[in-house]
Amino acid sequence: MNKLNFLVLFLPFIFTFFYSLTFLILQQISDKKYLSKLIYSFLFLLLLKIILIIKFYNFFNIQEIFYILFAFTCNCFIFMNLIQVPISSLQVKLLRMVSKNKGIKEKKINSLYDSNRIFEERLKTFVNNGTVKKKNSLIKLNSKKILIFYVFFKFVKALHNVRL
Amino acid sequence: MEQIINLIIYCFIYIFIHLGLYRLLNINVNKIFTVIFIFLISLFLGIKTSSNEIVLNLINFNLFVICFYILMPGIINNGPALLIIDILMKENKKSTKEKIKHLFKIKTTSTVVKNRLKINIDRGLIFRKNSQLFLSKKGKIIINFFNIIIKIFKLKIYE
Repeated sequence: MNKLNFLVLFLPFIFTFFYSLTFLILQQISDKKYLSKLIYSFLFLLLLKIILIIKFYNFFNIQEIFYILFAFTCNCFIFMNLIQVPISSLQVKLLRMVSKNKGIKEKKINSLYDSNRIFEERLKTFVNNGTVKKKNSLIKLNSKKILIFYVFFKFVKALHNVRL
Repeated sequence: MEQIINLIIYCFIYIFIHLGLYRLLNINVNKIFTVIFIFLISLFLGIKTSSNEIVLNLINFNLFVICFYILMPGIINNGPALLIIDILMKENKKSTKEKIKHLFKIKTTSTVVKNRLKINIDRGLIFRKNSQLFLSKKGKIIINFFNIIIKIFKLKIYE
């Protein structure tokens, strides 16, 4: 393997590191919603990557270009999930609950964490990340980005015969 | 170009095997064991062939398998976030909080927490002792790991 091959091999991982760094810096300096920061920093780096590929087009073949873009997208997807899990995963929330209350009984968890609380928590998260807007008691879907995820999940759920 | 087509074919074969087994035999192959197994086979093939093109393809395929592994729990289990969005979509994107809450309660019943708790126990993250629940070592590692992520990235958790 020559130097260029090594560069191609590690380029998506280096860019993913820069992606996490960009997100980290944005989290420190901006109060905007984390979801927007995650998506926009990904788009920014993807664009940067495409510009670099166009500029050094002669050094890469089509397979290498495909590898760089595909691996970068997959890495970013993994990173996005890593950020999402502690915020929205119910499983992690339950782990945290057991960690805080050692020896808690299952019945107590069910009574503490009923559908009422789950709903309120989710709604709070949605309002805070700008997915929905709350005006008095009226709730309105605000983000168009979420509709892409919604349509995708509905389609894949239908493929798996899982009903919402 | 041939290698790109090969990768796309491998990904589709993986999806179809998963779909077929899941729908016909109710077997979920999307487990950590599968991810490790594919990684080991790829490692063996990568070392054996020592071809750049194959190595790049194998890395891509392994990343795809990991992404698929991450995606699947959200597909098989109905998360509360998706349920709220679904209710809102069916109500023409807006509704009153009380109505959404009422529909949400009908849909979730009490199985959501029970199911997640069962998954945590099955995976050895939580263990039962005299009908009390305790966090296992594995569970503590996961919680500490996510606490570090929360601190580094200054994430807000709404609890």
